[in-house]
Amino acid sequence: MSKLDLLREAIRAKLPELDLVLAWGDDAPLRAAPLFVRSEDDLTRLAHPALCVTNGAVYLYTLRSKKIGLVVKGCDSRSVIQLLQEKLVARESLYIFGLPCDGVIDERKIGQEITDAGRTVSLTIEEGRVRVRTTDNEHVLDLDAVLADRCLRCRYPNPLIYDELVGEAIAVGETPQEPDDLDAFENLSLDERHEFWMETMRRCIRCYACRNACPMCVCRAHCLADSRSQHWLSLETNVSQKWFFQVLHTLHLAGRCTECGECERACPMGLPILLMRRKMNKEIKELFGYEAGIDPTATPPLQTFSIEEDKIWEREL
Amino acid sequence: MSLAFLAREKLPAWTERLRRDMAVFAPILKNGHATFRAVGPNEFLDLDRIPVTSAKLTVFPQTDILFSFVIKKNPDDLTQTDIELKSNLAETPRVILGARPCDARGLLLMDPVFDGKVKDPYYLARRERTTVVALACAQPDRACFCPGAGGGPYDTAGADLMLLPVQDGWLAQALTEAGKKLLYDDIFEAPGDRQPQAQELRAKAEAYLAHAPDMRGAEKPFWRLFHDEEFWDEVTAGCLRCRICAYLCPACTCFTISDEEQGLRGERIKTWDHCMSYMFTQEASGHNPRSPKAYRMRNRIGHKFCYYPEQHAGQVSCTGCGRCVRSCPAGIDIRRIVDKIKRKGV
Amino acid sequence: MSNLDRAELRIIGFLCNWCSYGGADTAGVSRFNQPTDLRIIRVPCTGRVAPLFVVKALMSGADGVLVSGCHPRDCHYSEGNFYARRRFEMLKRFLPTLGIEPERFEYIWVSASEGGRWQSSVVSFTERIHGLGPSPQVKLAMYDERLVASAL
Repeated sequence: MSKLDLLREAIRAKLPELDLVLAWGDDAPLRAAPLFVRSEDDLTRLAHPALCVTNGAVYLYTLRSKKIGLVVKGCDSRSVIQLLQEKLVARESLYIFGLPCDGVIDERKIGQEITDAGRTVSLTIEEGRVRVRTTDNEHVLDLDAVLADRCLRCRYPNPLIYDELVGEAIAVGETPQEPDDLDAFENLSLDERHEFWMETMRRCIRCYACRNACPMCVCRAHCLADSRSQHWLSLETNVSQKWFFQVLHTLHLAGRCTECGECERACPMGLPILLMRRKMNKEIKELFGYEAGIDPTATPPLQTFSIEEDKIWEREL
Repeated sequence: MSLAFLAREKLPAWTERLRRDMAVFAPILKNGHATFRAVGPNEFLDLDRIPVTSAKLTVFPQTDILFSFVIKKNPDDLTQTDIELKSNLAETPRVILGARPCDARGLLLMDPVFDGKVKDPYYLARRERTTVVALACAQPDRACFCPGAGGGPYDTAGADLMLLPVQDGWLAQALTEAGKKLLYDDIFEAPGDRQPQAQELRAKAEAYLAHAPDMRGAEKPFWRLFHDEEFWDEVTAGCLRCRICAYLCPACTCFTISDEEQGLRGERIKTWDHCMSYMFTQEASGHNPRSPKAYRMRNRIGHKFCYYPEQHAGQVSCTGCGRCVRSCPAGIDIRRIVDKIKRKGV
Repeated sequence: MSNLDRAELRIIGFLCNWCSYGGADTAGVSRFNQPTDLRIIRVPCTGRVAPLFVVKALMSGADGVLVSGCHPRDCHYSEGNFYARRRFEMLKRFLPTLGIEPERFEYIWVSASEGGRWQSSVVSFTERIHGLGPSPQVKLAMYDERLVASAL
């Protein structure tokens, strides 16, 4: 039985006990959309695992009063753990189907490989290859060339939390190297980095998809960025306002961001905003030896303190 | 009807020539995405890719400074203040270079809103000074459905000049005097025998879109489903309430007005708003008639496919450009929603 | 209020009400001379100071930001500065990612009796900021102006 079949059967078995199950289903052939399975009929729409890009954890907070099933990849499970750490959802209200994952396809990368990706008719995944049939052409691409960047550096292919595991756990190979984009950024001077963010935010349309797609953003209507009573941001579409929002978001995610990458994926302009959050996570890791979304019993480092800090020394002016 | 030919390599020259006399808004390519922007000197235009954003910012900018004000205090009597206002009506002529037929149609859909019973002088100042050079779509994609909204990949509605793609450039068809003026002799050539090629591309594009779902005629089914909470919950389930769909839509016109002050100076600005936000109908009392996200989706769909057509002879407030479908991070497809309404609302 | 004369830069100080504001007061009462670039904002505790305050200050025209509170273990509210210490250390390490010199921001612990220490801290920090020059906001504003020109 394929992984997809196993998943279908697992959900079918549990569906009667649950209000709904969050999985992935039909959509554009290059990517699956979130699928809210409420009846057995919906199960026919389940998508191939390599297309299951979105992070279902983003819906958990709003659905916290229901008993729901959730299918998670390794990265998604970290978001669930982080939500549990902060007591934003209750473990008892979740039934987690863990789906070991060897990577999802990034539709933007397909768009870079072929010019008529928008006219795709069908996409089939074969051994190590992706066959994309468009209206006028047929392309065969290397699967590795179109996997999402974050999958290439994934350290958690198996979910870290689940009630049942669907299929075989994936053997974890040696820790992949961090890809170049972080190194390339770190080689820039301060002025170049500033310019990088200015150029990036110039293209931002301030749609807040990055914020709304983030599983950790639960403030919703009370978000500081939308607040008028506390005038943190003006409504002008200036580079400085857009830049400030990214800083605001990143600071609020310090010690909470699990690098699921939804912010960057959701961005209609393809802006490299995950980079800012990854740099923040790097500092958190160095300072507190902490990674978000690993241990449900841990406390995010900025929500607690130690009387003696190992890595923080008093500075003299 | 004059027909001319623009060679591909002459596009930068034409752009620079246009920029001498007016502001040029065109799709600029950056990092694999083409977006409409004011073109700077020697910037690379991309007329091949379907732009991610719409051209509406030409007449309806994301931030429109209506006026600026300075509060002046009388130094002899500080309790006396005077406000100095400076209005900011646009004066620069502008051209949209490479508006898709859906973008041109979007302007026509916005006109009744800003130039109807109540006139918006800020919009009109820009609109009157805008020339539309439309670009026909030889390669529509999966998300496109303009025929279903009353348009088409080669539709000329709203255009002053129409560019028809051919292999080595574009045929240019002037539709108005304003469009004709832009066919500079030193840049455009005779069309030669390129018309059959253009026709062939047109036939292919129209055939590709032959099965575009009809988005019109959903008014009655919509009203029948208005109170079906389960339907709207199901259809809205994945929505993240961002604002991508509203911001990218050529026909979305909602805005908010706010004062941004810094001490004794400030500006009154009009900025894009979006109906999927919780605060869109938040009232001063704290009450919110559209508190659930499903109600807001119902309002959005209702506005586009019921209320607007009822007031405008069946025309939907949608151009079928597919930008919302392409960019929605949660895979919401407005075609599916309207289709479900028509099938369920019988 | 524009600061066209660059002889004095704008430095914002967030001082906790109990220790550091007291310390600054002690320095004043003792008539210790300090440069006048620093403008003080009094907060109940450094735990109240969100890292966002610092970024907003830098973005709005401050050339430097100094946060000062009670010594760890001596917080008037017991724990406020323990949280603050973590947040500010995180912020200091994050500023270079944004292209902002981390030296523009500093956090120190000055008690109510340490008037002399307050004075020397202000002098050193002011000299440091003068060495760094005008604020990041200047770069941001320049970018906004370039955009406004094309806003039409």
